[in-house]
Amino acid sequence: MDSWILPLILIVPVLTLLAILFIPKNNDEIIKNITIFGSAISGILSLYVFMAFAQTRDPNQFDFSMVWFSNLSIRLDFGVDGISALMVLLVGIVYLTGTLISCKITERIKEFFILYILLIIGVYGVFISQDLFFFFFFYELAVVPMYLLIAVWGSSSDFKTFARTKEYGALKLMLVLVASSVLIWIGILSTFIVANQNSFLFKDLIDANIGNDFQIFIFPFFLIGFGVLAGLWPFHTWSPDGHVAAPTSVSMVHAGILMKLGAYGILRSIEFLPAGAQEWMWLLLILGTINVVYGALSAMAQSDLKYVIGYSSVSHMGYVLMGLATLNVIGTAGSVLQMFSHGIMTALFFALVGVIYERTHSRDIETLDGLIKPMGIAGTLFVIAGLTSLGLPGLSGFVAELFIFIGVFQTNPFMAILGVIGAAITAIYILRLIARIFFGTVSEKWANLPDISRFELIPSVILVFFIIFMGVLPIYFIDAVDESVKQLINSYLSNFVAG
Amino acid sequence: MENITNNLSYLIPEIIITILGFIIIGIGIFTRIRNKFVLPFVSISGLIFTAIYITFFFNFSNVHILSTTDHNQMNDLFIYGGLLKLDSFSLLFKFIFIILGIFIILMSIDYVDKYVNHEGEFYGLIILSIAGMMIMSAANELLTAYIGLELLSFSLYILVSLGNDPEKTNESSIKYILLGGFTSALVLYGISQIYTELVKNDIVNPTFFSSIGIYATQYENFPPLFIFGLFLLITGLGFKIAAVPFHTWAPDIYEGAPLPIAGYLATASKLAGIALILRIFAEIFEGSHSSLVIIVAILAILTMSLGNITAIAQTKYRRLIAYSGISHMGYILVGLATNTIDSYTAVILHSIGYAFSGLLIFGVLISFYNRTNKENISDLSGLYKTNSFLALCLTIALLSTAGLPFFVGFISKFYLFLAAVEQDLLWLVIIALINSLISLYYYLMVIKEMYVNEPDDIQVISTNNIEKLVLITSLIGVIGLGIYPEIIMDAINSASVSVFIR
Repeated sequence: MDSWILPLILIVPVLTLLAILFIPKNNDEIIKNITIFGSAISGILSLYVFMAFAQTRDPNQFDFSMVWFSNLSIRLDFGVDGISALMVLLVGIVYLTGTLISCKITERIKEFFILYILLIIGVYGVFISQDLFFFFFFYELAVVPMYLLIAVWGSSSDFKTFARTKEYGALKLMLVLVASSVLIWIGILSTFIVANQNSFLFKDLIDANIGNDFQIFIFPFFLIGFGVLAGLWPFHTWSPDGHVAAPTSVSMVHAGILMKLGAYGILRSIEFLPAGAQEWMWLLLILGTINVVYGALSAMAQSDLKYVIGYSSVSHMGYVLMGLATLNVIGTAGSVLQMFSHGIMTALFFALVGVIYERTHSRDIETLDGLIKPMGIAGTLFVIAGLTSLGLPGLSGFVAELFIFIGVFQTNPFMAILGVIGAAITAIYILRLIARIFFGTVSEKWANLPDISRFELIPSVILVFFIIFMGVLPIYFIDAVDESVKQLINSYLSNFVAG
Repeated sequence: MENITNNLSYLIPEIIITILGFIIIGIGIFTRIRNKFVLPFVSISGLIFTAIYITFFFNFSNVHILSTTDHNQMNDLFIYGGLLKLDSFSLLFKFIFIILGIFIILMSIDYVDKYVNHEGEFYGLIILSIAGMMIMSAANELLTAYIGLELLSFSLYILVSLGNDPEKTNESSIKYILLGGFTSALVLYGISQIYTELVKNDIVNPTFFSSIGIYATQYENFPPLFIFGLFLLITGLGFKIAAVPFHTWAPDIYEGAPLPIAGYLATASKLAGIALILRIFAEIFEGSHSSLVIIVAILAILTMSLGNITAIAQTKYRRLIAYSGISHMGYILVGLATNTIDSYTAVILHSIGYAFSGLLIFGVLISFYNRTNKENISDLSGLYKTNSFLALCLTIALLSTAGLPFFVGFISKFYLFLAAVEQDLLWLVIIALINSLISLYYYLMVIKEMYVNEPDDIQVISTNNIEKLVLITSLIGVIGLGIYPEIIMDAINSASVSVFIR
């Protein structure tokens, strides 16, 4: 039975998609209900996968395998370890909440949900694939719908000094991501040939003991290729531009999940290219630190709410990359936790920015003022997200960042100090942002805004629940992840003992 | 005499199709049928019958499964003293040509009714050209191949000029006839050079492909005349598949020819060229002539890059598709330069996928053109609003040709490039990948036109059931092969085994 859970996680969205496809247009309510229903089932399945895993911690319990393309012995091979189980949960949460938030969309809702679910299928597939080919297959699949989602349903913005159309944001995002996947293509093709195992399975590639020279040559392709999607400096600019142009739920998935794919890809490539990882991690550490500091400083300089959150995502993804670059258990565990924490938190941020924008039709932090008065609940939720972002103890971000800083201090104290400075800058811009738009005098314009509606409240509460849950009971998540991370790092280290 | 009649039974598909072609032409000339469905119906039933005949009487799937495990058990049939070779390769391609012919005829019904005067000739010549392609795929010898090539070309010369708007078609048909005639003269001259060289060296059956292979293994350095002959042969074949620098006809002809014929040129005719090229190259590359690899690789780079870069600047969709088709032949050439059994399999898979997405593209464009009579890419604006199904089909076809997952283009490109990397052609693959990126850009521009921009007039474009049938079937092909390519891999594997292992 359990071996069907992971295929089911893909099949449920596919069925939802097909159901929507065959419903005639203009049945908006039915389409919405079906999508909500489908995403709820997916959410429950994801929760089940994570909880079942957290209980047994048996990485083989969900294995599913079938031959897909025998000429290249490509296998459709699904399985989860602690890391991917947590990511599956994250996808489930963001999928469900994003769907609920999207119900506000009125235009071409059928097509929107089709593309949105396609995106989700891709993301799910990446996290459950145990085969490098399918990992990449779903990875590309997740990128494809982004273009139309942004170009059709997004919004163009006009700033004082420059303008960004939605087509610009969409095209930039698409071309940068596909260009980065060219690097991954090269990496995968040559790794397969050099490994000479006639298999794309991760475990076979790990067993292949690929030669050190080749690992050192090829690792940068994976590092940069995946890094671009993780918002790695200096290739990060697609990300804030994409966020600003994207509709709310797409921003949620984009920042909440899509950017995690990049970090997750780097994590997986450490496994089968340990020597390459060891050789190049200094680069990731430096770039990750720049991400943290530069992203935070950029966020401070923005006047558009979505750009602030977009750059803060870049900054937070920097922590994830720093954690990965430590290559020790605590840092890596921290970065996995940070992926989850940031995913939830940033989804909440974007949901709330959507709420604010819908009511005020402005994202300019200069003009927004005193919103806590008319929008008490939304404001409170936003403050919670903000406090998570700056790493307040008791909320999810704290544990994750703490682990990362401990890990980085063990390998490179200087970079760790820079990282902590980044966190301090985060505190400055987040608190300033909250102070400016929620507190202070209420201007006449905003005095009569309606507060958050039920359809917006439910998803926000779900997200807040996980933020607090992880903040209060981090041990539950740490335990689930810990063993898989240890295994990963041990297999990384054993490579050097043996070699 | 007995030999001839015995062998004749293996040619039944070709014979049926030739007779069918003449019947259709005859009906067109001697009767006055006003119903636009009669001729297509007769043609398609004949073609379907032939396809079934090929599937069951040659039983090629069985031949295949055996052949992949043990080549010696393969039932290759040499008929007429080896002029034609009936192996799984030729049977697979014959089957594909017939299927493509059926699709093109289905697509043409409305178009022919509106824009073509000579209905009988139109369908009849399509069918005759299928016979030509079938001979090309089975030919085991240069002159037989040439005959097939000419049968195909002559049918196409006429088909290209069959529109009822002489201003548009005249230029392109004359260009096609002149260039095509010139190239086939070159091919014939090239064959004569090769023949001379082989006779000089006392090789028996000097026009057989296998004799070229024998010659190639014997001599490390080819004499200039032989190279010249090969070069001319490659010119002719390159012209057929529109590889750079023999590509200049393609955009002009696509623009002037009746739209279904442009689709036919883009799918079936190119596939026939690829089939013949695979046969000949498998022999020529018998000896390890690395200079040939370099030449093909350079042709591949030129073809990909020129096709893609020129495509960006196009404003008419026919020209865009022509250039994108040219760039695709570049990927095929990457596979030829690789020259392993994997790359041959990948080339066949890729060209089948390409044909399916080509059908999808032209299916959409023909439906669109029939209703609107517009030819610019910008006229596609807001197609989503006027007919969302057409927009969806075109999007999927373009994404498949760009090589994105869920569609057949992804796995076929992956396979093709993997095979090339295996032969240390990583540099070539990198160029090909960059080209895919460029192609994605102009495909996205078309997609943006359809989905983001507003339509010029909100008049809804309808599609009839035949168009829906064609589109949905090719959609199933593109998506089905993308989701589970294994279903046709048995057939393709044995085809590539039979062409590659001699």
